[in-house]
Amino acid sequence: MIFLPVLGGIICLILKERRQLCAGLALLATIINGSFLPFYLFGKFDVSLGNWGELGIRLAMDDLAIPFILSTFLVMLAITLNSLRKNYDGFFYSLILIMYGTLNSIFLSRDLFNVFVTVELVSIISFILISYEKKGRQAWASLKYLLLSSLGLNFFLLGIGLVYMETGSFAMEGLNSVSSIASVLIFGGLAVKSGLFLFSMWLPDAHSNAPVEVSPILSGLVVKIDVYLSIRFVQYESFGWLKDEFVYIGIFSAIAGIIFAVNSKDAKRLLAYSTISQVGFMMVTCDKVSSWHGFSHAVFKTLLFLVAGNISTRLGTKKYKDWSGRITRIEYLFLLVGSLAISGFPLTSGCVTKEVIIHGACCPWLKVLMMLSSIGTAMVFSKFIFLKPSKEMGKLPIGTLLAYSILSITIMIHGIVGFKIYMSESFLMIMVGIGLYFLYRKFMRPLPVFFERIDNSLAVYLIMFLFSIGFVILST
Amino acid sequence: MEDVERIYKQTGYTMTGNVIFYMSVAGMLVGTIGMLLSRNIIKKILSLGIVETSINTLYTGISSRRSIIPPIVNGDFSIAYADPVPQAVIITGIVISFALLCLSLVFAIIIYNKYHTMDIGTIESNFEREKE
Repeated sequence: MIFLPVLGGIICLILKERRQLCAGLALLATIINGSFLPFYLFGKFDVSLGNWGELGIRLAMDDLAIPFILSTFLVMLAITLNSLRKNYDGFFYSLILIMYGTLNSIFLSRDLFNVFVTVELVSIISFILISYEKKGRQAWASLKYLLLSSLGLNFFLLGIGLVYMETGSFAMEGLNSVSSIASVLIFGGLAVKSGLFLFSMWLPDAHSNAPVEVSPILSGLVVKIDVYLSIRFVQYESFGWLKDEFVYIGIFSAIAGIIFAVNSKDAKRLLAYSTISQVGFMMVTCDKVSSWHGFSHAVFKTLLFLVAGNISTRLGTKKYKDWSGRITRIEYLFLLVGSLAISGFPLTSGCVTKEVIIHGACCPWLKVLMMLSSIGTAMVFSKFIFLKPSKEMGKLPIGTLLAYSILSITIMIHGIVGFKIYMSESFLMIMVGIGLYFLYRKFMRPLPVFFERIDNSLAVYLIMFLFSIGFVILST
Repeated sequence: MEDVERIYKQTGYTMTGNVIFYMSVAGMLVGTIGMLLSRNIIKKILSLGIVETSINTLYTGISSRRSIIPPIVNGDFSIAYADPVPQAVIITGIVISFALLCLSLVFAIIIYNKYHTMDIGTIESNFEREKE
């Protein structure tokens, strides 16, 4: 499961010059790996690699990792299918396959140091992939991400060192009895890579300037690493303060992301801000239900990024106001499916997972604020719903059409299978959102990007880190 | 070596004590403040290097809490050796930070070729003006 894509990646690296062969090999490796999935997913295993017993690398499969591994398979399949016509050279496919194997191994690892190594590996590959086309804008966005992410992971390493000093091993069960300063460092170190609002302000620039196939990987999978690790860490005792803090941080980032997304003029920046908002939504209840929301968010965000990316390369502009009247009907159909899914329309998979989160909220004011952010999401994506398509049907290349339909069918199946009767109230929220969009249309203009400059984003991250330390001290 | 044995039997720690942990935390603070306050890209990358070096010092300190004898066993299991597990951790950490340093310098070259300056104020105002 882990080694197969990495092996495929290494073979692609050797055969760098033959482009068609590498593309076909990438597709084959992804499909073979996917066909192993039904055997692994429903069993549990717990193995310790190497013969060193307790000190070896531990991999284990659990209930919690199932939606994430499914989502890596679907996202990678869609990306490989989409990029068949584009004639990338073999290095791109080898990086994508190595990243697939490494992401799988993050979701399966049970060992703190293994987490560090694989997270750094994913980060390095994503830095290279963001600036794959060697433009100046991409290099600056990637450098910002690099500096902030390495600083955060150094804090994480400091936290792991403290855990080792106190318990004597790197296993995750050692987190039960650790002092709170180590848990703050571990949380703060991982929070840079998550998409929470003030912790990671490199996100809008990096996700919107990345090439077309790379944005879905970043926004659908790399951001979910921190969601998965936080859900796993909250189950241990010394992280009990984290559940309370996530309520405040999550809801703040859900609403702030929507405010920025409503006012933006660029299609990919809008999608990046909505990622910030959805991750905040997921972190509010750190439970198994938010891991399924992670799965459905990865699927429909991939669909939206691929459609928006393909349209913007065909028309040459990213501002969605210039798109009306020029997009074909097939592309409009898939854009509509994606936008309805993210707003929570009752038969799609977004509705299933969102309503379970909203119903599981603990206090009434939290429910009201979450409904407010759902209304905001509907308002943002009605910008895409009300673009006018042109009269022609249009043709898409076979790979792209296959990728879009696989993602849409997954959305529909998940929506129909999990439908329960209390989910009809999401229809009301969508209507309110669309109404608000028509009211607010005249007042939209882009908000200042003060927090995304490099010094300011670092300063804001450090301020939030100190705020978390204060929260820990106050709650114990 | 008799001093090391005596102090270890009395306290459980060697002579370096806790000074090394405080120094490494101080080093991390210096590196972080350096990243905040410098206006040149190369100086930011150097400050990141200071943070990484402090982490390496911390792990070396953890590894030498029991003893400072290198953990190469010649058949004599009775004396205390230094702890080899953090040493393995730190070797991986050094390799990763080296790779990140190389990658960040490549990005600095690409940025310099495009914007012809290393000052972050100029780069950011050009970046934001291009976006409109």
